[in-house]
Amino acid sequence: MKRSLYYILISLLLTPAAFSQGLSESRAFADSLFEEGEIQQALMVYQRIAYFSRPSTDPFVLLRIADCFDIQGDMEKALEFYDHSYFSLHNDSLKTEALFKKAFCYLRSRNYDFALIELLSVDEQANPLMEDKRNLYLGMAWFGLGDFERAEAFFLTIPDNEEDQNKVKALFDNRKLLYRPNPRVASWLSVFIPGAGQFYTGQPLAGINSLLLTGSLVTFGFILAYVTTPIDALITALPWFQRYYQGGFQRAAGFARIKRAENRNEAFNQLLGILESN
Amino acid sequence: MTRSEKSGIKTLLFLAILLLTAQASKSQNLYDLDHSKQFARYLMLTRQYQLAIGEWERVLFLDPADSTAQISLVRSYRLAGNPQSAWIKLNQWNPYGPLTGESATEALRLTLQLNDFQLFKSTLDRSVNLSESQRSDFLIGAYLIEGNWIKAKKTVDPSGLIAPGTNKALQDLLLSTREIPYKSPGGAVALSALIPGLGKVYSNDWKDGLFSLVFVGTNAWQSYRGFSQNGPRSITGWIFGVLAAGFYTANLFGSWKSAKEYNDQQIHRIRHEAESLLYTH
Repeated sequence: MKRSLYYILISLLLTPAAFSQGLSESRAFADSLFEEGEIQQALMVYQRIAYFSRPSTDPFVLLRIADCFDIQGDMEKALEFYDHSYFSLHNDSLKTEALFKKAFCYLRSRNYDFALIELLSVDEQANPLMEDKRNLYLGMAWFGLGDFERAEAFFLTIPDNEEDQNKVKALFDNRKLLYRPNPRVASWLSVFIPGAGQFYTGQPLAGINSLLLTGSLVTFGFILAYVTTPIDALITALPWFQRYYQGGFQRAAGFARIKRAENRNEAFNQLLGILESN
Repeated sequence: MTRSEKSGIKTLLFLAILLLTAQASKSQNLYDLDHSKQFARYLMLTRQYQLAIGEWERVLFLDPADSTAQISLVRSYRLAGNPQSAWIKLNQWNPYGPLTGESATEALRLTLQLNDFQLFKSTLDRSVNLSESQRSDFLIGAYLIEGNWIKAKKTVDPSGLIAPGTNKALQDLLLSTREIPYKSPGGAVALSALIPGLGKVYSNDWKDGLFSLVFVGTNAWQSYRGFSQNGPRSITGWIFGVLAAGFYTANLFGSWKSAKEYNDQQIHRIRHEAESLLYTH
């Protein structure tokens, strides 16, 4: 009886061990590939492990698959697997980590609204160690959405010294960096004085071009009105004038948007530089 | 039961369990042939065709004679956007002989994806055991993808390509091409020569046509007024005349181009739809 029990026990132990040996070896291999930066290969092995260990897939494997897709730039798949890992994980801290990675994915792909949805679902009380990270990501999301007041409030919670806090405040107080040039102002300037909008946005050559072109057409129109009749001038010169005049103020607004985005990028980089040390 | 009989049963039981364990041990290898095939199929299902290629290559390394794996590899290459490599692989296994079943359908899809319609015809000739409806599907597909239908439909009745059982969506697509008019570039130029901008209106680009009419018309009118007031020495007459001539010439070229673009857009639209019905899966 004792001997038979011994035999049964050994064979029962052998069976799962035999099966899991393939998985654990593969897991070790995949982890080493990931550490070495062989992401494509690691992804293959992790997916193989995930596929053959269903339905009891290790949530860490799903998290790693998500990380691999993220590194490769496949945001859609990365988000999908961050979701899978989030719902498979049982540890709160790890679930939050998956949530942060998902939010960061959204931030990098400029889906700030979706990033906010993820971040606002993080329980602040349960994860005090993650507070700085949460506030940083929330600040980034609000900054991306153009709500600088809210962004400033979150960014100010990160530095623990007054000097850095003052630097952050000074950055947000710098209206020139965050709000200018204003596309509407640029557009209206060019409506009243063709080319003025382009000067305002720091494009003097484009401004001179616009001014000369529309100015020439207006001059031409007046000459034509003098030589022939005003109606002739209107019919002949107006289509040309309308085309270049409208194009001028639309381009001025376009330049302003681009320049303002560049300024905001610069402001954001400065902000990260201040917060990095914290 | 005696003691020895009991002992014998226990030994047999133990051996049976060991055998089961051995079976389980065999299944531990995630990289063996069976597991590799399963995983390769999973990769194809999840549209990771580039990864599936690597997996099917390994399967074939383990079992070179597996014809299903051969076709799956070819399909993976095709769906990964590499029809040239798919064709090379297919020809490695069967360069000249008859093509049957999945080999035939994959080969025909590849020739269409490669835009090689001569090769399509020769491959169709090599394809045996294709059903009438399958043959019809591919012929219709080739007809639509090649793009000559837009000119040819006056002389060719494409409905003759339809056979019983032909894919309904392909049939509808084929018949819908009858409603698509061919815009003659020469005709567009002739119309614009008569009335500036009319050629563009003919090509469904009425806004551009209107602009052409306004620009050519107003400049021509100003030129006429200049010459009628001051005779051949009128400077405004000459300036506007040159401008009008320039716009008129540009309008002729623009009309030709817009008719061509209209035809190209229709060809591409029909082609895209035919491709999605024939070989994006």
